[in-house]
Amino acid sequence: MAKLTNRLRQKGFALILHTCMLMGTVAMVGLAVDVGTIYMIKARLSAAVDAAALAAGRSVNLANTVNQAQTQATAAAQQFFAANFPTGYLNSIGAPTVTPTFTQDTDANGNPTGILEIAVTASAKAPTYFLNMFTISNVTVSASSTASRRGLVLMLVLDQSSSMNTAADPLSGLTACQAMKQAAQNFITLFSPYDYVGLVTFDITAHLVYAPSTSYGNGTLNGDIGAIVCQSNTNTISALELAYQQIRTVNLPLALNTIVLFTDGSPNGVSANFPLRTALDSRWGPALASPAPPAQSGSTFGHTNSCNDVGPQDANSVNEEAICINMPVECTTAGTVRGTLSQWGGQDSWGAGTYGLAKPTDSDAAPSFPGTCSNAGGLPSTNVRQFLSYIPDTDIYGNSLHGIRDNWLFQTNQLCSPDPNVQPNCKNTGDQWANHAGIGSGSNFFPTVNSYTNAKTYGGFFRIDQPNTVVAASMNGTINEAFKIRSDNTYNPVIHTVYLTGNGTDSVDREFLPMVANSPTITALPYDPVSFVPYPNPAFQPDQEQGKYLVTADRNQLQSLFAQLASEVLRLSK
Amino acid sequence: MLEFALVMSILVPLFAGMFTIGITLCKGIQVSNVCQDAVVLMVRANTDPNAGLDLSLTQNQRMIVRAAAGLGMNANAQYDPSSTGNGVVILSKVIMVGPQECASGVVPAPPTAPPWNASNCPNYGQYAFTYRVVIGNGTRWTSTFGNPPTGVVHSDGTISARDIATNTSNRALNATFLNLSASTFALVSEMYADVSYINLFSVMNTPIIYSRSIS
Repeated sequence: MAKLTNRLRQKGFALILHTCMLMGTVAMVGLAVDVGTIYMIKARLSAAVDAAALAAGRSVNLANTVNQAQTQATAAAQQFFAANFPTGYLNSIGAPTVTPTFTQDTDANGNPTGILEIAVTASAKAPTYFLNMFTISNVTVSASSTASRRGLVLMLVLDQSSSMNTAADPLSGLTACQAMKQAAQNFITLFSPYDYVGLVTFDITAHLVYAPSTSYGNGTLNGDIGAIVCQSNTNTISALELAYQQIRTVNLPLALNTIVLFTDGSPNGVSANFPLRTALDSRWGPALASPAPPAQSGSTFGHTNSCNDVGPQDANSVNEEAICINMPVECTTAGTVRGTLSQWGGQDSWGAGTYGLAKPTDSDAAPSFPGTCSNAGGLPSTNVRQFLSYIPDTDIYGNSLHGIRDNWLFQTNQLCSPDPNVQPNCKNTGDQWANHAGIGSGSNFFPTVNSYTNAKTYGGFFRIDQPNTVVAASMNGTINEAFKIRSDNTYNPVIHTVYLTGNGTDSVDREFLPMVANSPTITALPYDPVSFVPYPNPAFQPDQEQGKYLVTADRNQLQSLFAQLASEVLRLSK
Repeated sequence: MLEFALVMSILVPLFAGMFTIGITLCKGIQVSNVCQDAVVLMVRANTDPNAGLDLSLTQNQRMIVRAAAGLGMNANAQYDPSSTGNGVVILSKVIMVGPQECASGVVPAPPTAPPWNASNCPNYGQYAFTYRVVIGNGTRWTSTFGNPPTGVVHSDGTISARDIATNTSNRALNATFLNLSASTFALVSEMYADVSYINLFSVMNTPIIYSRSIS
């Protein structure tokens, strides 16, 4: 009976117990829902803030002033934040606030490194359901993220040689020089006011027109580009060196240090300490009238020896010359003259004019010949061949002038485009001289044996009397200068190249500019046949920065090409 | 016994719901993190093409599949993505086609260009795909932005400049909320995961978790 009474008393206890437990359980469930919601909102907020920071970093471009850039970046941050965290996400309350801040990163000594840090913070109010019963209607959650944008130091290196003065294009009415200026003016609008942009132009002398600055958007650089006058020769090596030195001067090791080289032809200027010619030898004429050259007889390379300007004209309407046996010396004391030597007769392999000396850059002293050289007052001129002995093995920047183009012959190996719209339709793109026996002297070097009278006086050195050789040395020097620049492990510069074909005489073979850019593949020129197959760059340096190589035969496409390049540069700098 | 049954009739669904919602919450956060990781990889690949982060390659896709461990995306212990698994990650790059894309994609440029407009560059002013890579079960789910037409996506995920500018079937749908200006782009990673195996008592109507990250 007692047992039955106890059992009856215990009836309903489980229900009471579980009801009590249920209150606790429901409270736990409510808390879990609230905390879960807060956690979900926090996770989404964090992702949205990351996206906002990245978008802000990307949007710092395309503005003229820092204020504009920051306004744009803030708008982009808010836009991408909203795309990832829509208003009302999981019933969050109100519109979240997003605040980006911009800070230039500095090293331990307080010097800018070239990195812009963009920090974004955001907060949102997460709703509560269970906690609401305890008057906590919402909980503020916040998240922050930092993106870093690699700054850009861009040196625009523009060819302003005379070959850019082409006839006006029938479609656009622009000469190549005008088309280049227009494309470059558009190009500089595509960067951020946090970036440094500078301008170097080059003819026979390299000119620092606009030192790299973040104020490039104020119109000065635009005006400088507009004022470019195309004239004279193509001293690409000095221009690259000048641009490189500007990158070093800006001194932002972590920035994307970039050189964009635009050219329409092969380099044809070499800056060196040229040894004075004090020993008698025989070389391509003409010679000066004083001292009087000796009487000539016999023939060399199929031409009657002569110390006069004899011709005949070659395919480029340039006089082919003859060897002047025992050309008189002008200088009596050994020494060197510092300056830039250029070719003055296309890429001719028959002698023709070499020109100089000129200043390598505007800040260099004008070259001067010592008083021990007679007729020096007539320089610089195409008579320089009589004053200087040979092209030395290195230039004034320490670059070897020897390399892959040592034995190259330029005005040969004509290629014609399959597309009749490519004008001019055919181009000499050059070849190894050994494949073209009977053309010119057969070599870029002075002979090491007396294959004609006094031929080997400067045997083994690059000929200074032969335009083809000046171009070969310039190409080697440019490739080596680019290699040196890319070897800089502090600034890690990248070199991009843009080639506008169409130069009448100084065309570039398909390998040269990809080598300067360190592009892994040699691609077709506009004149190459449809069957052309790209092949690996023989001078490719896998450990160095790779640049982009772009080529067009149509000057009206230059703007698009520059825009492509901007896209490449911007993609890398984000 | 009756009391216990009464109580259990409340407690069992409650605990089942707690279990399902709790695990789904965890999975949801994981899906969100996978999307975020994937989009960061895309940003990295886009920023530095030489970084070796070609996400069209299986060996690089494994990074994403590994981040999705437990979501049934992998085909094997090496974390190769499974084309019949329980999840998919869809990577897209969407661009607002502007003058730059038209100049690159409409070659030779017509005499009427520039200026570019919809008549000389059909996708001008539209959102278009420039990249698409699908990792995992791509036959079961589709991107909320739609798909590029068959055949235009190259093996590395890229789409030609011509298709970007001129192929009207290559437009991204429902992208207006991105509010992009001309020639700017958004990188999008989306993930679907089937979590029906934890859906006790069919607590969820559609046991599919979806998340996306846009950068």
